[in-house]
Amino acid sequence: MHGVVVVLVASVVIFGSLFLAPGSPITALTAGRPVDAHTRALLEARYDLNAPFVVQYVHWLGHAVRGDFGTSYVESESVTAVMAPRIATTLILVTMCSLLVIVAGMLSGAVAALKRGPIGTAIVVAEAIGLGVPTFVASLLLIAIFSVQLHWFPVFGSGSGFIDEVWHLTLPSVALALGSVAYIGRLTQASVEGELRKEHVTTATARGLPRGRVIRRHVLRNAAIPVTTASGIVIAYLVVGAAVVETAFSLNGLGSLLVSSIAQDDFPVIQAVSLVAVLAFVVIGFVVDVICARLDPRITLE
Amino acid sequence: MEPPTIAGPETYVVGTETPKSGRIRSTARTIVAVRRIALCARLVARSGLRQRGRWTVVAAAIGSATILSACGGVSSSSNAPLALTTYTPAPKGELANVVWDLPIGEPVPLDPTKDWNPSENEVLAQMCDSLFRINAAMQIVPDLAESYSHPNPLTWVYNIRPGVKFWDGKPLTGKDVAYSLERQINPAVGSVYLQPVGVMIAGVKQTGPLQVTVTTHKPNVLVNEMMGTGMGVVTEEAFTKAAGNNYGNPQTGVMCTGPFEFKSWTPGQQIVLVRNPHYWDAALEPKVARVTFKFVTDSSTLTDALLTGEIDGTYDAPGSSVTELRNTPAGHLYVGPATDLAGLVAIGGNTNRETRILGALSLAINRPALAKVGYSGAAAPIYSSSVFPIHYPQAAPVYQAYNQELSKEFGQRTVNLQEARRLVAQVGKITKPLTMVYTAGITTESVVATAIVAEAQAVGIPMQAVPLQPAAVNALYLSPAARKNYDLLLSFELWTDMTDPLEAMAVNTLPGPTNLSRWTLPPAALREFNEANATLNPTKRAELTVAVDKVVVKSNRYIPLLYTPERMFLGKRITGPSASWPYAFHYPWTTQLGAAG
Repeated sequence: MHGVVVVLVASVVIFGSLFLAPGSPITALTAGRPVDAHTRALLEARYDLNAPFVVQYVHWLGHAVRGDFGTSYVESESVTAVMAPRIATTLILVTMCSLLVIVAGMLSGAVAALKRGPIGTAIVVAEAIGLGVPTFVASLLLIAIFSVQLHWFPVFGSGSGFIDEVWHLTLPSVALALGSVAYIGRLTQASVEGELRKEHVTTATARGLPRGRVIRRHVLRNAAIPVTTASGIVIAYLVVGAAVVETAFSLNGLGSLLVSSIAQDDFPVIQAVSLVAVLAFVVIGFVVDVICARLDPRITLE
Repeated sequence: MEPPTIAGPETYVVGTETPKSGRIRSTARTIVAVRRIALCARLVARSGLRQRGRWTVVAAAIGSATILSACGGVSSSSNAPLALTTYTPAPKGELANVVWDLPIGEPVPLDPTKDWNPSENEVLAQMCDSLFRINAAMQIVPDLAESYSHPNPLTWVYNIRPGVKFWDGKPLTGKDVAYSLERQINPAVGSVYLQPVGVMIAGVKQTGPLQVTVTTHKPNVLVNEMMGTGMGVVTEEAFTKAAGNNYGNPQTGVMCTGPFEFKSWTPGQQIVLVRNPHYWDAALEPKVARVTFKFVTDSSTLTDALLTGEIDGTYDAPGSSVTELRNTPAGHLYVGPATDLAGLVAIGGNTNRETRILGALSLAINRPALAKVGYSGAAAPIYSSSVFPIHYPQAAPVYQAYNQELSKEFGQRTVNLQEARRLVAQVGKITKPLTMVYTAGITTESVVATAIVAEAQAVGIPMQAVPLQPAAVNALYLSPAARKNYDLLLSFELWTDMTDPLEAMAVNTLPGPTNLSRWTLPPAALREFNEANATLNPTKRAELTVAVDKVVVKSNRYIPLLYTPERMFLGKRITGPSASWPYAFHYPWTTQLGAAG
């Protein structure tokens, strides 16, 4: 129920903000070439650009709930058709990246908290670097080393066929995941260290429970709750936040589509991609809630 | 058509490294500001790999500080001047596939009425024939119009080549030609060619099975020449009508007569064309079975893709990577003639006082210095906004002499500065600073804008540079209301489709929506413009054009700054096409492509 309200409010904000943005749909429709008043009027009539805000919004929403986001001003094609191949690319990229973030992030964080000494220090240093290197620099370094020098991976593109796509998206997902892995690692480490100091852990240890059992049941399980919530937010952000990596690797994902649509005033596409991003947030948020409820019975789903 | 008389391009010399943008509205813009830093990061990594082995450099390069500090050194490296090359070696064999990039980005629908930007025209010219073509020497030569006649000053009669077939096997008729041209002038279609040239056409009529007659309101040679651009592209009537609004979009494609057929278009990924086995022009038989167009806009990614051979070639190669592309064994960078310039457009007021202020500004700007700071010395100063150093081969001597005259008049820095200060003193104190808009996020644009402001202030013209987002800059091209708030627009996109200076003059100085300043030719100059446009003899036409241009130059509404040549990169396995600018999108140059060895 919350999710529906969030999506509705977001849809008003998304639709409304484009009314206030500089530029005009006519720019997109005429590819930026100046046109005379007559042509302009014809285009405005064809694309229903003169109706009041509320009328346009209701009209748009009515079609959007049925999966029809209108026609792209730039591509002369349905927005759904423009987005379809990109959703697949983004889905694979985000999945690969999420796996990296969850597995590498949580693992490195837990190890850093539990294994003090050189290993822990090394992880902390690596995380600091991961947080410090901007995504585009990471992308270019990875391309320079693994594509241009070693020829292990392609420089650009998202490939065709599942195996080929995974091969094409390996470097992008590493570049994209780097910062998030470090962030989740840090968070996991802090969370695990916090749990280790809690009374119930001391009690469990004092009762003579084996260390492995204490760590698994009393430390990691509790520490996982804030980390899961944060991971959800990080992963939801990746859906459109991948724009820099997508541009650097010339991938046709939703992020770069959003950026290019904004640059070209392609309003129907901007609206659709933004709405998909909001939906992703809501869905991932729901999944996170379910996982948290499983981890801690005290948390209930409404 | 006139006999070939070109001499200029091979001998003209300027520097290299000229970032040229078409009407870019690509994702690249958003991260271009960091491009230079990023490029340096890559260069550091790469040079390190050569010197110190793989893993040391990973460790070294990961520290962001190293990368950032290394940047200044790399970007300030200078380049030796380079002669312009028009032609590349002829191919020695056939190839199965060539991958070519469109650095301006993915095309909008491949419909000739919507295709104004370079990407679309570049792809369309491989598939669709026009009535004429523009060849590498910038001459307008016959294409689908086998011949034409000009029975009276208002009439152009085109005789269409017999025996030409569309890809679907249907024969090309005068009806298809008339239909295609009518689309360009029908206001309901809203073609990008409607203004300012389309409206000069009074009517289009099929006057024979293979004949079409175009009538103009006034005697008009420009209309005839424009048949060599996208305006003269012929598409199949039946297919176009059936496709309706979907014509040219990724799923529908186009139906034309050209040497390559539309095969597929995966949005965001690629456009694939395949050889048309029944192409009518035996002289242009393709030597490549398949051409794949990619849309890599990011300069660094494109450079890497060219260096690794994942992309075979591109026009408009990244300006920021000229040094790398010139020194790689992976291919060859050619710098060729183009009809392209960077300049200022006065979009503000229109009084005599402003004419003098703008005149002072034009004199105050040190063009060679701009070429140095913005283009690493790779562009040449220019003083006319429509007559380029390389232009209109039929009348090259007239235009070259005119350009030399302008250089002599405006090329003396000390005299210019004195005159600029004198004009400013005459005008009196300027209280409100001039506002100059440029596109945010592009290194060259911000560097040039900053230099202009400094030079203006040095002669006493208060000035302010205003960076705007691409969408807001585009709005300036479109809406007079949006232009009202600013005085000047710094544009790197003042290229023309054609080699006849009258096209740029029509776009810039006739009344109509393409005229961004509100300044129009005064009556006497307009008479000369019309007379020039009615004159067939190229030399006389050029002399009249020069006379009009002198008035345009004096108006100072278009302040030309730098002439920017074309950069074409060809990977080592391919050769053939020319490094010439209008040719890139008004000639089926993929037919020239082939194996280098």
